[in-house]
Amino acid sequence: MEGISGLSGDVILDTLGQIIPLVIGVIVGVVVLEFLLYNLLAKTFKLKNALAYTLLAPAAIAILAFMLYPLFFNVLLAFSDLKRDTFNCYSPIALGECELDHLYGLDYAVENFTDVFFRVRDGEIIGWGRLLRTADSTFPVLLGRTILWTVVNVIFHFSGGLALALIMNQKIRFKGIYRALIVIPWALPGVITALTWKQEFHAEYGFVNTLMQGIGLEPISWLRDPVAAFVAVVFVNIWLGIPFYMVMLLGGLQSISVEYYEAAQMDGAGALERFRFITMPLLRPILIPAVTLDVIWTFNKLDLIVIMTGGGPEEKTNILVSALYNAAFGTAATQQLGFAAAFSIVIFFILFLFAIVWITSSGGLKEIYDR
Amino acid sequence: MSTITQPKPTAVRRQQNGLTSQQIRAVIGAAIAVGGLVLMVANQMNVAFLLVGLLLGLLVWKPFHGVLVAYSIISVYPVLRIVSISLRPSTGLLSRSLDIIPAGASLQSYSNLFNEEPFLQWAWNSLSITVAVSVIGVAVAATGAYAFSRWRFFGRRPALIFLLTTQMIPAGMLVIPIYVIVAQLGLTNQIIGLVLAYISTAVPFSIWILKGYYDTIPPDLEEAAMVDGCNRMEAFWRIILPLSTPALSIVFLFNFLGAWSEFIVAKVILTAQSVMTWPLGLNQLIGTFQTDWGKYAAGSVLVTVPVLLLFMWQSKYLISGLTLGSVKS
Amino acid sequence: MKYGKFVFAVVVVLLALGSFGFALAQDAETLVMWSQDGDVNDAVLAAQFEVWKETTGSTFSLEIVNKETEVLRNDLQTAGLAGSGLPDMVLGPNDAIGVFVDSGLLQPLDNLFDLTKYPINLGAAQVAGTTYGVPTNAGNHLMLMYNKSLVEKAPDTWEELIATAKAIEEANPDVQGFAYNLNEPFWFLPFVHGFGGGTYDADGNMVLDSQAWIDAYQFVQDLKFKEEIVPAECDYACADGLFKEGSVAMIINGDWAIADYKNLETSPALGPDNLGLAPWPKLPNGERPKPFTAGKFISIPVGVEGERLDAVVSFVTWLTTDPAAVTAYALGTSRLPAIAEVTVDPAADPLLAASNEALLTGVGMPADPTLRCMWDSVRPNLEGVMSNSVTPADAAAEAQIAAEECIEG
Repeated sequence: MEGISGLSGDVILDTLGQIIPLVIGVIVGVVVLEFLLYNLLAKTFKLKNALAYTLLAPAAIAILAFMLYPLFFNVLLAFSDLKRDTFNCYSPIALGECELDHLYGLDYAVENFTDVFFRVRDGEIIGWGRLLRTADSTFPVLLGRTILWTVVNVIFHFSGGLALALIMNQKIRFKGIYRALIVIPWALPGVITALTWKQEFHAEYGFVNTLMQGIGLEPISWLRDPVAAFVAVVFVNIWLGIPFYMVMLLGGLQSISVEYYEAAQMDGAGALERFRFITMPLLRPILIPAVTLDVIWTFNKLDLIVIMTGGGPEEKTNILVSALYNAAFGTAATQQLGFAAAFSIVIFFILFLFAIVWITSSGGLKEIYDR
Repeated sequence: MSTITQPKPTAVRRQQNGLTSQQIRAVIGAAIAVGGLVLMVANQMNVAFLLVGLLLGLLVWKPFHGVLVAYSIISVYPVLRIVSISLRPSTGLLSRSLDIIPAGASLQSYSNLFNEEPFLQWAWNSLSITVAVSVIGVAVAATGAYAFSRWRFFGRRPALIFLLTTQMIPAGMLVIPIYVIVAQLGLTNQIIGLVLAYISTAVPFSIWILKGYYDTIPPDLEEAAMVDGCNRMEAFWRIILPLSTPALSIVFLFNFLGAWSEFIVAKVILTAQSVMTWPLGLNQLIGTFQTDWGKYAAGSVLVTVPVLLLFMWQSKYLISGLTLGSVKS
Repeated sequence: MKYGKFVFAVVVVLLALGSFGFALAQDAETLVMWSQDGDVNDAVLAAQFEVWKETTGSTFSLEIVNKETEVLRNDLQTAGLAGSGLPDMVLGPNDAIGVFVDSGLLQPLDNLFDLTKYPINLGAAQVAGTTYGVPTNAGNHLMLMYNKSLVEKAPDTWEELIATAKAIEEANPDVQGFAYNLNEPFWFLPFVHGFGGGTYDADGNMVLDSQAWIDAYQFVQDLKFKEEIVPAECDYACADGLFKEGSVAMIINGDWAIADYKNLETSPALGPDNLGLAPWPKLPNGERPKPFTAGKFISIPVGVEGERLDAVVSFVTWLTTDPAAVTAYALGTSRLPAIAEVTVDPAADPLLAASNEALLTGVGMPADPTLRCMWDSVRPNLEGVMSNSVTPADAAAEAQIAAEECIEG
């Protein structure tokens, strides 16, 4: 190894040689591009909102290139028959004769999407399809578990965060220290969180069982028992999510004017009534976006489950996204990328539908885009 | 930060034999703590009893502090455990001990990490990527969010919803397509490829936060400046950006954290040893056929503690930067 | 003035693009190998490459990238889909070869190497008569490994092993008697073979619910729940970690780990003096569990051509057939050579001799791409058996259904 722990002058210069031109290049390029674009839009096309479009252009290009194009690619995959033995039809370099007469088609899409839900033999539906290898990996089971996972997590995130925020909103000393300590789980790199907790839930060497034995409880084989493993990942995710709510709700509480409470107190309202009729309604503008984001994030929580349990034991701690990851990349992967793409689109639409229904019914986003 | 607190409750102090309820609780709390001390002495100096006693005593004496201290411990303890594993000697990495400073503590794992692995190179690569992503990401999001906040242009609502929609894309779904694009640009195994991929995933959420924050800044301020002869961009630069420091630092922090610890995309795009970031490097240490918990824990501590301190230091901005945008001023 | 700024911007952008090109050009002389073989063995290979470089005067250098089995498979597939970023060599066990060949990602090697040199295990890397991998070693087999400071003599039957483990635990409360990677089918298949079963029947159909499978599930379940000699929860990392630091007396592991255990720096409680190797203990029916054997193979992905291909073929040929190189690699990694010309003297390395003895009890691992379906179908059901939530008969039946589903696609 060269230099100190692999770090030598050459390495530093080489990296800087890539990064500095990149940062300068992007920023200068953006300015030049915006200048040209603005002139084009404002002077040539005489658009009223030329400046707005100009300001949006860099973000739009980044998102189009690295999000919209991949999304499109993914949809294309769902319309393909890409699997292990047809791989050479889709790869520019793989060897072998391609035996497909067409690469993309509606027939493939129909098959891929049907496979997500049903098990089909000879054109007959003979039951729910298995997304992985056990009967526990059918779509309804996974969806049910995902909903359970999301609901339990969000409820505990919210109530835990609210309790802490209410306490933190009191006149209390050492507030800064408490806040700094309580946000720690939020700041930990996800890989490290998951691996550390995995070790701590180890039946023999984790502190969880050591503590339980210390107070006279039977040790639990946390990651080998399906129910216990699910409890363990839920616990860790609750631990991860509380700081976000604490911060959001504390911000909300601090913005509520004291006058409301004073007025309520004069009218003889008790603490519970003040909470119900003043605190909760005024927290709403914060709560709705926070819950929306939390539901989305929890529903999509992949790394924790994949690293802590891998979806096991017996594939019984998988939620939809971890099942998708396992189907595409994990031990149970059958390299059916067309199927995996269809599965990912289904998951995406479930979340999308939820978001649309929730957002319209709660009116939460009016705040955001109608201001 | 301005802290608005509730009015002092009309404190009802029950006078009983000259003792306030606060004093009674203090006495009971102290008694419980002493009980813990006695139990500790009775149980071969098991410190756990004393700690539990102290905590319960605090809960009785000052319930709010008790709850916060208890929760702080829950937050911090797993981190302390990593520190403790990193200090364990190589013959006792797996141990049932709960000591924070393990018996036979040594810095051997740290020196092994530095001498046997190119750890500093991993950290340097991560840092370069992270700084580039944070700087470019904030710059791109700051102007984009300004457009969303101040103009009612065609396509604004669908675009805002699309930004939220990007958060719903199942993780892992875009890994293969992103690799294909990066490969087509010839940027695999180069930190630039990863920087571009990270920026695009960081920008949507950044725009959301910044837009919310800009909305709370009255447009009158810029208009006044423009009357004074500034053009729109000068007004943005001189007035909006300085006022948005909390939100900008939060966005910077989030982009920083995200890029610093990202693993799944990095794993496909960077495969050469010389460009590896620390999550890839550390993951290698605990691969299927090789497990080195000592080095892994030492590395985890070294990459976690700096960002943790950064986060804790910036946590004063978290509240204002993140939530002000959601509340009408 | 305005014009000057623009020129400046163009210059900066060009500089930036220039540095991209510079970074791209750097890698031309580096051969990339993706390896699933572990750091210790990779280091031996890297050292061998330097020897080869010196003897041939080649200007290429070698970069070994360590990847786990699944990661290697996914990354090869992703790179294949993009059409770029494939390595120059892949080093791994033979069961992945069938999958890669199905996807058209490996080059046939029949015209590149003199295949008559590898009479021992070449068949494990052949699909439909075509060869896709050259063996670097023979083996990759699981065996009993024990710590001689805790176990005097390797147990010959499971009964003895159980008695030994219990005696050790009684004598040293901090030491576990026996541990192995409980939930991983690769560690379970030897039991199935020992009870007379296999993955395929005589007609090549996958059969995972025969009596042998049920007996094997029952046996491992009893080891855990009746005899209680294996820890409640132990995966590879746990068994490996405990063994290295002397906290478990006996484990089951493969020949790839020997080099690591011989190394006192990474394995303070073992080293060459304390590490003992033995064949699997006999089952109650008198048979030994039979581990899968094959070896590690080097394959060449598609897209490697011209000078690079020449360099790869030259290096791999030298590594796997030059007697001095083969001996050095075998001794360095403590694994058995895969060519007939080179045999390892038991006196030179008693561990290698013991490993060889264990190897002889094994059965060859097929390169059939459907083998993956067996691994994937058995894994969740084995987990159920090992948490006592599924009966052996149900596990066998469920695995059969899952495997059929997997093969049909």
